[in-house]
Amino acid sequence: MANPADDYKIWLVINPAQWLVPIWIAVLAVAVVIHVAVIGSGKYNFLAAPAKVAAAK
Amino acid sequence: MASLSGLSEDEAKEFHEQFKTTFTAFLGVAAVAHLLVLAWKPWF
Repeated sequence: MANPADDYKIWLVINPAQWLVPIWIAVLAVAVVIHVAVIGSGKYNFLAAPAKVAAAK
Repeated sequence: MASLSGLSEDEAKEFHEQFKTTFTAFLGVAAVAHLLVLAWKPWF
């Protein structure tokens, strides 16, 4: 058993017809959590940033 | 012997090729996004 050569065998265990969408949902959930954390970080709040950039001109 | 998922070896290999392609594209987009953030405000 060697990776990545045997990576494809995961699809012999889980059927993508059933699990591909749940995998996407999990990836989306991780992305949403990370973006919420980043926005919450203040320094990287890319939603509030434009105000300062406009003022800088 | 039927696999747990019901896919054959060939089907699994065929799907995995597409999965790798899509995942590589996803990584490309994420890399570009991170480079843009790095240009905006380095975090290290």
